[in-house]
Amino acid sequence: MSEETDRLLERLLEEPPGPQREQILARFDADRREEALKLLDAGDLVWEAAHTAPPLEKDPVAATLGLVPDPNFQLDAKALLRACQTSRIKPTALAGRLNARGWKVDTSDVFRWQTRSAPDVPPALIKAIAEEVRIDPERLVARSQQRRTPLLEVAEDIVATPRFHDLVQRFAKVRRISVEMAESAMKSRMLATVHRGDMPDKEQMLASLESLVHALETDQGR
Amino acid sequence: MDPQQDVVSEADVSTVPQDIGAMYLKHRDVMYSVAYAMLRTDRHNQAEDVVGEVMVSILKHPPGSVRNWEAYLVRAVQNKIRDLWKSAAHRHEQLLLADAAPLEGDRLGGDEVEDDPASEVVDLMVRQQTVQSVRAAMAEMETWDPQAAYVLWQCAGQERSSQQVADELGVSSSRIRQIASKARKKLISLLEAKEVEL
Repeated sequence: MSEETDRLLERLLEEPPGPQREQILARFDADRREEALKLLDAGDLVWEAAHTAPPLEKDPVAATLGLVPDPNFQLDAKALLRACQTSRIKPTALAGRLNARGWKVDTSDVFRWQTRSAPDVPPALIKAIAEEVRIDPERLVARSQQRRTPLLEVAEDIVATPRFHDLVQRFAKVRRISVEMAESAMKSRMLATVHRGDMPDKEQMLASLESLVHALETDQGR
Repeated sequence: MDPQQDVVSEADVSTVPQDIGAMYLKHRDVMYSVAYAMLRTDRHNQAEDVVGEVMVSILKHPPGSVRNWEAYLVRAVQNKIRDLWKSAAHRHEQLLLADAAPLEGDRLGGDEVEDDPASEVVDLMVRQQTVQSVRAAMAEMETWDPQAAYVLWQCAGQERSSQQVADELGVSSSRIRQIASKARKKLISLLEAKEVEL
């Protein structure tokens, strides 16, 4: 390759997709264009590899679905053991049923949940477990002290408002979940937004939650 | 948007209903990846919003049983983005045609993207598999030449200029371009060794 082509290639590889890139590419002859396209595609693939889902705790969608573990909505080991005994469901069977519903759970996970605290189990999975052992999800939840963090303090003002309380009730109704689980999801969603780097004020956060609940309520019976 | 109508055929239906949350947890990476890739040059729409709207839509109208959730969710993201593009094109054309008399029955929007939706979903999923291979190849590159892997990740992955990376590493920008170019070639050879075609 000539020095000029080398420089052109360097410019091309720094150019993001768009008309500018296409213009530079058009200046290569057919043979070299093929090589340049390969190099561009390699770079585009690296870009795609670098752009994927955010960490769970920064994902508002995961929070809404109850997939972010919540220290205030934790699985109670003793309650789970009792519920499994009462419903005569063995750990192997429970793991199998949860797997059938799409959860990635091993029998060893169920044994662990029955013997010690399980801060990694999210509310949505607790709900699935509760349905399989035929018990209210709240009866599987251990009450723990709220862990205070600066981020929680940001959300505390909002949680104390009657509007937030109303939104939680509506979210619980539309998602057919308990008020406690709805509150956990709404709080996690607020924290995900803050974790993501946005710092909306109180009114913006409430408006965002309102818009989510409204979207779920709208056209529900279609 | 109703992904259920678009995606689920009789052949896709199984008898075991799956939890939507569990399915999202399993496939959210691919949903975000597809959204980011499709919206890379779109300054008006964000992947996070698209994924959020897709899931709200699915929660509102749960699909019942789906055999291939990955395909279902990829299609849902793809359809959502196309709906956004179509409505944007529609609005744009309405503005352009504001002074003209539109022909009756004209349908504005991106009809050209509807060629073969099923094969496009397959293409997107194959592309995601290639992206997975790229992640593995980058991890491999990191072990034999961490600097090359870092430079490529910063320049191509994070879209930082060679000058920015040069300033950070205390070398010239032309040196960074050399390293990045060599790293791209190495990545291609690593992918070819895994029989991944570019």
